[in-house]
Amino acid sequence: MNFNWDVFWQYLLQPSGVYLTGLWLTCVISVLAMLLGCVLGLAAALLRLSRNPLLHLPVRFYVWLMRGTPLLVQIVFLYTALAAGGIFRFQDIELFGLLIPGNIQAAIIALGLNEGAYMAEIIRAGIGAVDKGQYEAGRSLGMTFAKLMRRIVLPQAFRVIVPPLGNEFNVMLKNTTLVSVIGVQELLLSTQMVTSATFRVFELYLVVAIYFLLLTTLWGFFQRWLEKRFGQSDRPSSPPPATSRMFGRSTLKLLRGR
Amino acid sequence: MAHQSDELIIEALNIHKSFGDLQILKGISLQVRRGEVVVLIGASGSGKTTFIRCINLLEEIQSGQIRVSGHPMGYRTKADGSLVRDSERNIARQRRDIGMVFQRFNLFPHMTALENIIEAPIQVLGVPRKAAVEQAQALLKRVGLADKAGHYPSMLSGGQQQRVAIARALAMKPQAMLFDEPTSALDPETVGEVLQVMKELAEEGMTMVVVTHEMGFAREVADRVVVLDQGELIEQGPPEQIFSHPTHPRTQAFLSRVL
Ligand SMILES: Nc1ncnc2c1ncn2[C@@H]1O[C@H](COP(=O)(O)OP(=O)(O)OP(=O)(O)O)[C@@H](O)[C@H]1O
Ligand SMILES: [Mg+2]
Repeated sequence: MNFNWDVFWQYLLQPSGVYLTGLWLTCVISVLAMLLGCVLGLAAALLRLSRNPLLHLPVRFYVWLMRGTPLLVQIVFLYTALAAGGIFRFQDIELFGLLIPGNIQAAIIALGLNEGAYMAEIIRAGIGAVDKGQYEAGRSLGMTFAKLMRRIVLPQAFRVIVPPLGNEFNVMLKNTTLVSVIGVQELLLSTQMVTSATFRVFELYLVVAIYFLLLTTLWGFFQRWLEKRFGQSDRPSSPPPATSRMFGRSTLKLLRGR
Repeated sequence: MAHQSDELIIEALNIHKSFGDLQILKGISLQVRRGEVVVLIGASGSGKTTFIRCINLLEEIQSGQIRVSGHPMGYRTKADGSLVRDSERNIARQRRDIGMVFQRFNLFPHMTALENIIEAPIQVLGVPRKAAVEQAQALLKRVGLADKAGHYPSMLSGGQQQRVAIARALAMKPQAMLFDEPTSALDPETVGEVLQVMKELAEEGMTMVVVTHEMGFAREVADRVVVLDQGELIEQGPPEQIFSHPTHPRTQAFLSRVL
């Protein structure tokens, strides 16, 4: 077997600057895209509650579109195809003294848009899990729809949303590898660059796999804490803890099979 | 009761309500004066729940009018005479005047008893937190739960939850209170404590419309008993008259089943 342990240990334990930048980008893109996804998902879920077709039909279209096309295609479409078609070209912008390249903006927006569709469904299910009596109690106390949502329904829906939300972030961390196709130097592309210089393909891809495993495992622990903190509820059927899902022992339906 | 005046608090005029093709309320009219306690009785499915939900605009009505303290609730009459639902904001505002107590309590499970009570005064009426908390503590004392302020609903018995729910509704200082079978989801041993709170409320002069199967409560506390049957108001009068000398044959049939 052609395996160089020195290279493996060196890159695993003393990653070069390229690697660290990649790791940093992976985390930043994941977090920002997830935030965007949550905001879009919440807006979409609320609009879908509306009886007005002008409000809920566009949302259904959006969810249909995002779930019906590959994320990789969406990323390339947003960044490369729109620019090629002369429709929209992402420009580098400077924000708080920091230069943000166009492809990173596109990466965050594409991942966020895609995430929004999944979050919309998750939040909608969470809202649907809140007892109808809660709406009536809130209404009879004179609450408007906005107050009712903010103070009564969403806090209760949140407990149902937290476990799948954690899973979504796990998926998001891994999906950031897809934005390597538009030249964002996250972990995968960084690895590719290093391998093309060192030719240690096996070792370096093993390292990148371990990095992702570390990221998702760390997140798994955080998720477990999050569920303890927010997922606790007086509902009799609380979801199984994060660890059992992390190792895939249960709830296949909570994951979205990627 | 002693506190009654001639001022009309709730006026329901010729209320019609259907679910799809099914007509549930076939022109019910009811007037409730300040301080009056009206008990609604009737067979299951006669429309009691639907009727009091209409008063609070939790159900849309097809025709008729509801007025609270003389103000029409929830609907505007268009030029052609048809009814259109008022804006959400206006409806929310009008609902403040009517407290509602549900069969299944519907306390907010993510809030303590105290938080349940201060929520609407702070969020809806804009009462300062300190004042709202003081009022909530007084209300909890009034319903006999001063020591349960920090308890979540899941830690309270059914009877205690329902008393918190009553306090929560009272915190809005409503003109009238609606009760939909407030004791029928309770264990028998906790029914009494809830009825006691309601009785005290009635004695203090609260205007109340109560749907209940507790005929003892109706006899003792009601100023007027109203009998619904298949979406129609078939008979009403003081409790002793309804219970001892019902005139309508369907009232007689209903009472002979439940008494
Ligand atoms: N949302 C709804 N959709 C369709 N039909 C309904 C709905 N709510 C109530 N009904 C029907 O309206 C009728 C009256 O119901 P309602 O709940 O008002 O009766 P009730 O007098 O309160 O009965 P109970 O004593 O069992 O509570 C029933 O036939 C019921 O099936
Ligand atoms: Mg009923």
